[in-house]
Amino acid sequence: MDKPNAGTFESQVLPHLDAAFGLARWLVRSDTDAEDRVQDAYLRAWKSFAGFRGGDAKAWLLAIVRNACYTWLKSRRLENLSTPFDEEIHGPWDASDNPHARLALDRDRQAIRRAVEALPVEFREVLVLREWQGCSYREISEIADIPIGTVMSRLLRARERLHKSLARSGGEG
Amino acid sequence: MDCPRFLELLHPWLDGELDLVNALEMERHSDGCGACLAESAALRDLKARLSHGALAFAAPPGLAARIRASLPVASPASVPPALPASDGSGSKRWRPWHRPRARLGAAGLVSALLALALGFWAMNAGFRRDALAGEMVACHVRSLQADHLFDVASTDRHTVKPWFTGKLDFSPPVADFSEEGFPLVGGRLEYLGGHPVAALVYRRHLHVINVFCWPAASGDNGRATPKTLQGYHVVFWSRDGFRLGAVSDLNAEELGQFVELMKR
Repeated sequence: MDKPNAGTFESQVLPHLDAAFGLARWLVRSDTDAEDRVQDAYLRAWKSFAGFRGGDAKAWLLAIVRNACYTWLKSRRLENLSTPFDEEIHGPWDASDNPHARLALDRDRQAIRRAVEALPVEFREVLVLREWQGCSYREISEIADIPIGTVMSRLLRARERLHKSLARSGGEG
Repeated sequence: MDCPRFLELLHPWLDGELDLVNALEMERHSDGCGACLAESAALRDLKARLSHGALAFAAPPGLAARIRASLPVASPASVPPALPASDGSGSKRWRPWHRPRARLGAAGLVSALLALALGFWAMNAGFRRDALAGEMVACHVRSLQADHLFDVASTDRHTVKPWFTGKLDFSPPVADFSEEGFPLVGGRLEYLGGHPVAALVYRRHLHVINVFCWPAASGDNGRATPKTLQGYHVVFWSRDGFRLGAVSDLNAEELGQFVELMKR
């Protein structure tokens, strides 16, 4: 916290790498894609760090990560127009996932992860920021650039959907 | 509190977003209402399932190192050398010129050349100052990156000023502005435009201000507009025969205040 720029970037921005990766991983749903997005976001953060006027470095970084992911998702969606989207192929179970990590999760965790990954990205985003990043509504509204009322309604709908799909998968198992 | 109001505030409540008064009302209502109690229990259960540590993603090992490696580093070689010896006095511009006087016949030629050089100087002053500002920003960034902010770390100007003795052929003006909120934190030697210069380091809150100081050259009127390069503000001024330049990511207004203090 002593020095701005290079030194401060190290001490203020790099420590939030897990949070950055966590958000990116939930948004793009693949380890390798998440890594690329995070690297891209850090490069952007580095370039605009001089304009960062203090405050919450984590929220500032997460907003950049979020935008990098959205840009990428949009470009992918355009590509996907040519090939029909197949939930079995492109769904929550990404081929690039580490199977060992998957096995380590018990059935309940697998069901939860699958259900969260199946949520539309706008819902997934607010849920992930709230439940795994511990962001307040105000922080989420800043990161996702939406009013707090929208944060609340999306969070509510995300949880309703999640609750329903978990009840369904629980009934099947 | 009624049930619709309870359900409206349920999520903010369990997310810790409610004030104490509303939170107490929520508790009181759910104590007396079975349906609402069940709703809140279901949400608590969902939140508990989500909070399982195994669901969080941690950055893969090596990602931090890859990110560090991918960040561009301002390289000194990427900045063209500033302050070329275009005024005809050679590279040691600030040294007293002891050369014996030229013969009278040559004097005309010399002054003509000098006039030409001065014209060239004036024409190129803007370009050279841009290059100099770029070099100063590179120095500033490098001093922070390489963890080489100062050679002499002291908030005492009576320590910093003598430190330069013997290292430079001039004695830079050193003052402390702690009371005004710009404490002196140290000094170091830098190399700008092919010359050793004094770098004085000041702080403003978390921001570092590097002030570069060297003897003014003849024909340098000292006027230069503040610049912004790569997000850094660069301000030049003259004082007591010295040229000074400050570089910082501090906002332009506060940097301006600092420069005014330095000019006093």
